[in-house]
Amino acid sequence: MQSEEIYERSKLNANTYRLISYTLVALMIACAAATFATLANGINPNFQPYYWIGLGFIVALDRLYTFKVFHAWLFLSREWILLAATHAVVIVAVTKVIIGLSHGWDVFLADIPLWRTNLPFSFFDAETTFSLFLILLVWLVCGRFADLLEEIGPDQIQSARLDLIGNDPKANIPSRRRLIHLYFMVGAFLVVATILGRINLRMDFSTTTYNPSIPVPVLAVGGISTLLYFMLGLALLSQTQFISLHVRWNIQRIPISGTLARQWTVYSLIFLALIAALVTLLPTSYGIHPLEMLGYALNMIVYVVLFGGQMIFLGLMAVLNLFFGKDPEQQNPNILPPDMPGAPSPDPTTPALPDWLELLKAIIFWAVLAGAIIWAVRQYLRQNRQLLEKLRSLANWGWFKTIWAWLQSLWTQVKTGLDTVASIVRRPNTSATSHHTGGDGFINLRRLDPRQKVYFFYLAFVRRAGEKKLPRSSHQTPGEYASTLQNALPEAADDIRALTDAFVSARYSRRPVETTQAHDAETIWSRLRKALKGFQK
Amino acid sequence: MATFLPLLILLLIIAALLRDDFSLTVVYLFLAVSLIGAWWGRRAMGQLNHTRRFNDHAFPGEEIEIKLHFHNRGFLPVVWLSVQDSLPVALSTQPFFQQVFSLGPGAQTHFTYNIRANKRGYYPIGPLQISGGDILGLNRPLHFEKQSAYVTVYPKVIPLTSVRLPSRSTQGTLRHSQQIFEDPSRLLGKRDYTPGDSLRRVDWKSSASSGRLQVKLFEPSIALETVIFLDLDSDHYHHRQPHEATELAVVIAASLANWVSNRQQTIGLKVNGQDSFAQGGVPQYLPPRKGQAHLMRLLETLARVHTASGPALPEIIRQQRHHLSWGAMLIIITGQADDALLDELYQARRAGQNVALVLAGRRVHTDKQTAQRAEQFGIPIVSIYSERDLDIWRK
Repeated sequence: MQSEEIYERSKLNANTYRLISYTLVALMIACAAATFATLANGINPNFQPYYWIGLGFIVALDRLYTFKVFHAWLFLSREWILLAATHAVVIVAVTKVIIGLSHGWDVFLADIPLWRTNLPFSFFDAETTFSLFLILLVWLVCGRFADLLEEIGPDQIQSARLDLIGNDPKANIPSRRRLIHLYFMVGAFLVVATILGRINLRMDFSTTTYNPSIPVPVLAVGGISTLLYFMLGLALLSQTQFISLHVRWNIQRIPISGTLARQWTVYSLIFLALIAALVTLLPTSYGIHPLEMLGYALNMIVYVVLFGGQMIFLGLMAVLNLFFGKDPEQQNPNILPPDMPGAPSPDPTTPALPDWLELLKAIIFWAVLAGAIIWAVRQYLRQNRQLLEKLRSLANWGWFKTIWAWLQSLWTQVKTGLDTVASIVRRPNTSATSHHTGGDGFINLRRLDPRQKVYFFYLAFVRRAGEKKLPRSSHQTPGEYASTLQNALPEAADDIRALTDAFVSARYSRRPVETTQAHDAETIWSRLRKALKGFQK
Repeated sequence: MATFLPLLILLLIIAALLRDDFSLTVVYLFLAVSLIGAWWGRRAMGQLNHTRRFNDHAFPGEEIEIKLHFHNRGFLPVVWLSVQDSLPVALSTQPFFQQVFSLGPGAQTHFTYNIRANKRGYYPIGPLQISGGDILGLNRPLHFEKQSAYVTVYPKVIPLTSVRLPSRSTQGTLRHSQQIFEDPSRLLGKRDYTPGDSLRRVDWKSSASSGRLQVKLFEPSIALETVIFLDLDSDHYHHRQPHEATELAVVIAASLANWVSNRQQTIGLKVNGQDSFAQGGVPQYLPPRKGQAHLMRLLETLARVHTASGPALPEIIRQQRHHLSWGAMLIIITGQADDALLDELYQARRAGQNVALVLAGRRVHTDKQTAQRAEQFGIPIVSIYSERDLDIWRK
């Protein structure tokens, strides 16, 4: 397939990609605007800037679709300035109209004559100025999104067309990673805005105290819009991943299944639904509230830091007073120590639940938290090998290593146990045709004849040796395999040879196998099992 | 995960300090995204079963159909899967078979592609590289590799009909036109006694019935225990076409082996080239045996061997001929014969073994002198310049 062909084939994909990704970004911006509007409304209940949602959506779409037009001109060139100015005028006018209409038609009409008398200040009032500032932010953020989306999709196709793959100066940091960073950066602002809104609801401004016991639903105060932003962002990441891979496969001339796009969409939706369901089901607040313990610990740390700071300050003041102090009474500044954080107490507003349910929730919470932290640290260390090397050079590393090895062995044992249980559960299906199994799916040794017993012990030996990283290759005869094992386990060489000979005799000769021979094979197998148990490759 | 780890830690601290469940919900969201994404990808790939099936032996010109089968045994879909099977350049115009697809829970699919056995050899198919990943691309793609399988393309075998190989054997199983020795077990007919005929040949029964002395006539025969010594040292072939000449030598060896084997005779092979399949790269000596299975083994060896500077041919012949019986046939296929080789072949002749020298490829300047010496030693030489020249054994 030629580059031109790839380009032609990918053009349709690029248009679809733009349509979906731009819509997703515009919706994300609308969600962000909703969060900020909720915060603004929370701070000043009389201010209801919910028109920001629609405005943000429109401006985002405009910016995304005109990005290429702007990009075509040199930055700050005459044409670019003209284009930007006309856009600015239109956006300002539309913003002003929307703001005016949000207050009511009559107010808007009454406001218009004022523009002529005192144009800059009456036109650009506080609300309009703040709205325009937010629109400017939307404009910039959407420009960045559009740039990255173009880089991920259509730019790659174009590069493939011009055979420029590999010459991308921005290739050091992949576009998708930059997109993820942008997504998280905007998300972080939204989380901060949401939390500020929630603090605002729980704060008693007369006493400047924060009361966490005031119930605020998770989805209230911008919670839903922020979570929606994240979910839409995940959909965007899924889509960009698809287009990124798709373009790469096209460049590499790899045929792609026709159903892949449809299946990808379906699986993305399933994945997002699964995530949403899991997040909804996981416990976030309950009576025991383990977070209080963590909060108390953090408060203690803050207390210690503040106390230490005060002590240093006092010491410094005392020294300075020795040299410069005149009034002895002023030598003892009245600095009070910070208040000791109170111990966590059960939350009276939380509905009482049965003890076992509280315990179960606490266990789930801590298990999830501990697992996630361990996993995250492990991933982090894997990605930062230098840090890992430095940690290894620490004196206490050996101690940590021992604990880690113990945990690993514990996990291996648990996993083996689970696998065994799983295999027992599965076995009845596969062993239904076997003549030598009992009703419960196990091999009944007593029902095997001596020849089959010898087979059984030998095969058990081969399987166990395989588990110890001494697998039998498909081309190896029993004799050759025995030689390999004898080299690895020289102390059990005689037993290996004896069991192999017994198997070869039972398998390949017509001589009858006596019960005593089967018994001998069992004895040898027991010894070999012990030998293999202590074997470490 | 590392991307949003700082954000998660910050949110956790905020959640702890403010006792705010919204922050915890966001933490859950990203932990779930990361953990489920990684688990999904690994689990789905772990449940993937794949096989590659094809006929691993082929004759030149045959099509080899390769079937790749993928089965997702798990309950999780494999979102995307990119497979790449490397193909031998000699057998395929494309260097790879590549495909991208998705596999639903329990779904299976298969792909078929063909390669053509253009040239003898032992070719790897694969390795099959399989890549897959999560739906969001937050984790690194997972890569697996299935080991290469090998296909053997036999050398070209030209059916020969009338190869004339000299014999010194008095008894054998193969009729031979060269009337040097006769086999008393192969009765050809009778004729009247003439003075000088051995009394052992007199057929007393027919003499009694006809009233005249009759003597038996026997068919001439050879007992072939044939060993082919194939020289794959490219220095011993014409310097302009060493590759073509060695390939021709292999074709001659395969055709002769086929001819001998089809006559229920024993055939052996010794090559001084390189066999990548054999231990140490030295082609295994195949002692003279009968049967189709042995012939196929021999052709497999001829399929795999390629040129290399190995031990000298006279040395190999000296080592092997002591293990061969009196009257055995030694066919030496090489590009040129030097004095050392002719001396060794002469020794073999003196030891009662038959030798035939086949020179493959273009003539080298020493051919005329070689022919003269060989004639002196009584060693027959056949020069085969191209496959068409093998017609002399097809008439």
